[in-house]
Amino acid sequence: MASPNAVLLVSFLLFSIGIAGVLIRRNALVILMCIELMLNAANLNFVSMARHSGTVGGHAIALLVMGYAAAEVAVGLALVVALYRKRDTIQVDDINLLKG
Amino acid sequence: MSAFANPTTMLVATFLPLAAALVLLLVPKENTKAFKQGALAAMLLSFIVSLAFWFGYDRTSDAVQWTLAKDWMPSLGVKFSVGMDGISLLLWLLTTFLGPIGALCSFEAIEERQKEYYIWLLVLQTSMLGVFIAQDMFLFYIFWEVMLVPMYFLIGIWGGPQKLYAAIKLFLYTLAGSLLMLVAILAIYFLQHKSTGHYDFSIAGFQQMAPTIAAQGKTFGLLLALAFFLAFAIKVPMFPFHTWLPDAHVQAPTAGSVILAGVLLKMGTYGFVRFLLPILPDATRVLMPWMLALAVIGIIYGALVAMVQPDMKKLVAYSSVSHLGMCMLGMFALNAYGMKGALFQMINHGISTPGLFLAVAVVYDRRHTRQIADYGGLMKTMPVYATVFIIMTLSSVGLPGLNGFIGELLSLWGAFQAYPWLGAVSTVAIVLGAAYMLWMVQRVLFGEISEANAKMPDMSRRELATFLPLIAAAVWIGLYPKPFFDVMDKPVTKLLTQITPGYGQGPALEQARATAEPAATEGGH
Amino acid sequence: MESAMHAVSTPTSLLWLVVFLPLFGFVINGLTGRKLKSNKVVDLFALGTVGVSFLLSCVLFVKLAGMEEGARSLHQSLWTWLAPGAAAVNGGVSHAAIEWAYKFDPLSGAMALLVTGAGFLIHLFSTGYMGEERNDGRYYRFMAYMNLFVFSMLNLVLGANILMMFLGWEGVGLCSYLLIGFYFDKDFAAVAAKKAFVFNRVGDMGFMVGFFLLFMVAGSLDYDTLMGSFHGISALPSITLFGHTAAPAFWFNIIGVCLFLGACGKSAQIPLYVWLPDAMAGPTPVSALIHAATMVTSGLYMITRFNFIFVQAPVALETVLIIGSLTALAAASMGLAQYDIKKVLAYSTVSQLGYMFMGMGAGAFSAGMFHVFTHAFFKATLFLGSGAVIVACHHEQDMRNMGGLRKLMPITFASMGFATLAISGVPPFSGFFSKDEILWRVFEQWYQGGTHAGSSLYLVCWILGMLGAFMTAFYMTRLMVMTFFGEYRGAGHDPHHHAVASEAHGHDDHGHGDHHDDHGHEGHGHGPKEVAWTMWLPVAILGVLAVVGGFLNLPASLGGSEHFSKWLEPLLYVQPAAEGHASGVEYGLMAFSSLWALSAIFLAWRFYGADEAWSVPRAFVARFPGLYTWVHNKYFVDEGIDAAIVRPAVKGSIGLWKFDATVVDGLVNLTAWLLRQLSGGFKRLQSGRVQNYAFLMFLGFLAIALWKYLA
Repeated sequence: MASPNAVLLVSFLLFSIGIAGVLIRRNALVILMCIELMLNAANLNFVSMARHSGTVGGHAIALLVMGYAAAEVAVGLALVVALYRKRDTIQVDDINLLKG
Repeated sequence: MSAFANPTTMLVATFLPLAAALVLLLVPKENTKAFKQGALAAMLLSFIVSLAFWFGYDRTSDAVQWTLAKDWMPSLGVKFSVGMDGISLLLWLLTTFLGPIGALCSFEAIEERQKEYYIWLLVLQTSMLGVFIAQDMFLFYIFWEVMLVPMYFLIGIWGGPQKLYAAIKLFLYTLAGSLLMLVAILAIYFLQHKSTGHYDFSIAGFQQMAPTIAAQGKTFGLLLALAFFLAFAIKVPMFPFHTWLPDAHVQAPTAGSVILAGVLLKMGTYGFVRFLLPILPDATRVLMPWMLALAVIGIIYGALVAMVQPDMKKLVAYSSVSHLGMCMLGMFALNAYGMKGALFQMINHGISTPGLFLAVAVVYDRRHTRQIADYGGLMKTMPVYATVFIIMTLSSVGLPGLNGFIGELLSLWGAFQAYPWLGAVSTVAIVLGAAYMLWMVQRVLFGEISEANAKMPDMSRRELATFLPLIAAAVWIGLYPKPFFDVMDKPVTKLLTQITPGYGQGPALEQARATAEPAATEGGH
Repeated sequence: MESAMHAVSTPTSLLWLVVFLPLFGFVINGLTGRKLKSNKVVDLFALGTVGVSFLLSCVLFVKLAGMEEGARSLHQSLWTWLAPGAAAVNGGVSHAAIEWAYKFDPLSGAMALLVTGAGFLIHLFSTGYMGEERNDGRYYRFMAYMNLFVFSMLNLVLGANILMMFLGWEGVGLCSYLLIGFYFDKDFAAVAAKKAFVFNRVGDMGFMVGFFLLFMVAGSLDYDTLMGSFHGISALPSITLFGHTAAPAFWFNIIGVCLFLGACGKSAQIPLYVWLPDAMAGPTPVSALIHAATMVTSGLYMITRFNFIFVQAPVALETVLIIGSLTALAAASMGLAQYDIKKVLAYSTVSQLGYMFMGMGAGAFSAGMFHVFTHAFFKATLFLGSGAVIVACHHEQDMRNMGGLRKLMPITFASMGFATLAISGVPPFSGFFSKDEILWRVFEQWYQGGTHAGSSLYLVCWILGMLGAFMTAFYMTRLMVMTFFGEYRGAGHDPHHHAVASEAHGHDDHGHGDHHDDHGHEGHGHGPKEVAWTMWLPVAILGVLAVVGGFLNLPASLGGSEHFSKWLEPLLYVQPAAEGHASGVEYGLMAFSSLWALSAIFLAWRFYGADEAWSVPRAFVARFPGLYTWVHNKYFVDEGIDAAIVRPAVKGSIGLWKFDATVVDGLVNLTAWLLRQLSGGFKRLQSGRVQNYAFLMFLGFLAIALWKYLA
């Protein structure tokens, strides 16, 4: 059994990759995928901690988060598709209608 | 009649315009006639209901009458608390009185987006009426700030070429002052909690805080007074916080100017009377000479600048600065003559200045210019208009027998009793007032008539109808102001006692003479 | 005790009608006049109300005369006007309220008779004089204003307290404004109207401050109360007001000077007299009623009314004396150099008002008041006569274009002739008795019964007065001669002369050319003829009064009984002159001043009557053109005021306006601008990129995590 520290390190790396992607990439699809990475890093934490402490709360939340992630992807992808149809681009920089 | 004057009807009169606005929201916007008539009817009805309070007011009492208090946010000590004393009653009636005039004078001048216009006008009316009946600081503050919104839109949408600049300036300038006042209100609120242990926003409670505030030291009281002062001085407006006024007046539509001059400016003076003076009497006495000095500067400065204005509306706007300076002069004389003079000056300014704005609008609607130089000789083709214009002018310059005189005389008289030099210097206002107003009359009504003006038709019945109530009020107050004195007498005495304990006590003159005389004769023998 | 506190006043019930009847006339004519087809109805209301008011005044006057001498006062209080509440004044807290009340006593009663009586006659005259306006729809307006004037003037004289006087005071100012500006389409009339109002208001400042201070001293503004408490106040050892302790006389002096400033404005004294000559832009009946007989004498009425203050205010009285004498002389000298017939009369009015003030300044209030009445008679005669002349000459006002009217207008000539003798001070016409009395009283102050004990100020003023009297006789004779003697020089006879005349007129002769253009020309070929009865009758009546009016106050030294002085005596707080005081000096002075006037008349006749070419005056003008221009243009006082006050004020105001727009408003806009700049910095943070926001959020999160970790 790997120590929680190792798992935490992995999840930290995953989360960092995710946040770097969200902050740096301009492609809406990639940003969505990076958000998934961040969510899964959190999931990993939940699961390992639950196992470490021997309770089931963490598992339950991990399942919940997976549900959320699915919903988020569904809405997010729908937005991206709609955006692509309307504006012919999925680069976030081009989507600045609300900017004053 | 007096049974009809109760808290419920008072609320009806106050909220009737708002209710009408909500109903009008449902009417399709093409139905312009409905908005005009609906707004006028609501204003008129509100005025008629409000008249009951004139008759029902108990003139022998200095208490707040028709009080009604319902818990609103009990944990914060906020109550929906309303009521009126003589001072609020007079201004409240002035507001209901000007409402129908404001609606009526817009009938032909406003052609675009009529639905929104009349709705905003009605909302404005309720918010102004609310200010005068609120007996709870929180409620007061809400009405006070809400009032700005409709005014902002009235100027910003239906105004002149620079309407946005004027509207934003009005909004931000007055808001800046109001926020300072909010800080002061909260300071007193928490101080009250500290000393009494419970939260309370009632105005009466605030007024009882005077000794507690005094116990906090001079600086604290002065800071609070300055915060209140800024809020109200901007609203009045006192020199040097007056520059938003000419812009707002010139850009506003006629009804906007009428309401702005007639009621909105009175909010500032009302604030002084209701809050600064009774809550912070010590600071008031410290500020008194400074306020008087500012008032005198405002009187003379406003009159001089008014004299050289080429634009009629701007002239009237600067004359407002001068007239309200007179009002402040009387108020801060802190004696009965001055205070009553100030109250009269508020009412009178609310009659004559709207009249003058209406008069400007009559010719503006015909020729679409407000430059004095474009007119001349109108007396020839528009005799009725000229008569009305001259009456309003005379009311504004304070001719005895018309309303303006009463306020001006008593303010000057009161100031003279307090500071003879200031009072004497301020009398120059009666010369300057005559100079700038009559100069305008001379250039607009007298002289040769030009071709462009020769075809202007005289006033219509509707236009005349907006003036007649103003003229009637001007003559009434000028000849028989006794009922007004009766209404304001007790509250003013109460207010003066709050500022100066034991005010007006002392041997009455007749008795003093009667006792002195025999002694003198005996001594002579 | 009570009777000593308050002078006695008997309540009466009809008094208000005297005042309000003309107001009804004003309201009815003002509201319906425009729609009325017939001017006869306008006449009915306008004349009827004033006439009935006059009759009522007569009734009250008779009633008053029947009362006991010390108690002659009728009083009616209508309603409480002002109830301002408590005020701390000298000696206690005053709770005085101001009543809307009237008081009919010997002084105000006499004035009311004058106002309604002369008012009625002048209304009658106007029905003829305003013949043109009858047809063009302006007539009702004129008559309504005239009625309003009578109403205001009655308030002024009959009011029972100072504020009622002030009400009338401003009211007559308004009517004067409206009537001077009656021909509003003429710019000069509009300017003159405004000028009159504004100058009057300068005086009103003084008036206001005066009664404010009086209130502080006495605690009341009601005449009865003031007169009742006056002795007590003046006997006080000292009065402390505003932290300053001084003898009562000190305060009375200030009050007196302030009130006199008000009188200067209304009664056209130096330095506020310049509006009166310009006021001649109004129709002639207005000049007669307002600017000669009644309104301009309000200042005198006021000083007489408050004589109880002035007798305790030596400095104020001296001021009155000095200003009065200077005005009497200066205005008379200006009258010498005018050609406009109405302008001559205007300066003459200013000068005569100066005499009245002079009399009051010497403490002779009844003499001054008496001159008010005789002056009203003869000056109204002269003005109305000049109006008749102007109408007859087709609205010509330049005397150089008149002449020879004696035979054509005999009644007018006779009336004006007698009035001229009266104003010149030729016995036994009315002016002799009134003016001589004033000059005698001034002289007496210096002479004081055989010793030259008085201040030499009185001697100087007497000399000024005598010089003015000489000029008065001179310019009035000149006026009569130029108008009525010689040959008619009017329009059509010598057009070249006419043109020259207009040129020489200078800028201020606006009155000349009054609706020249719109006047019917039908009479041009015929020359002037006598006017209708409605116009000559009032002139004749007033002329008769000007002749016999002097006998109302025949001095004791001439065997008279001084009815007028006796009548006013109960109201005056001066020591009555000792009986049988007449001395050789008095008779000598009478003889001297009669000769003095006659010699002036003779001189004027020599210059203007006997010599058709007016060679001496012309030579004089040619010799001293500068002096002539100076005098003709009222010593350039108008220009001086314009340069010293009006133009700097306008310039300064424009400067203030710039200041307002740049500095005061600039500060406001600067604040807004600064805030905008400040927000410009923060604006960059608001890039609009979600990723930037997320990055910042992330940094924040890291910082918090780090902080928690370290802690």
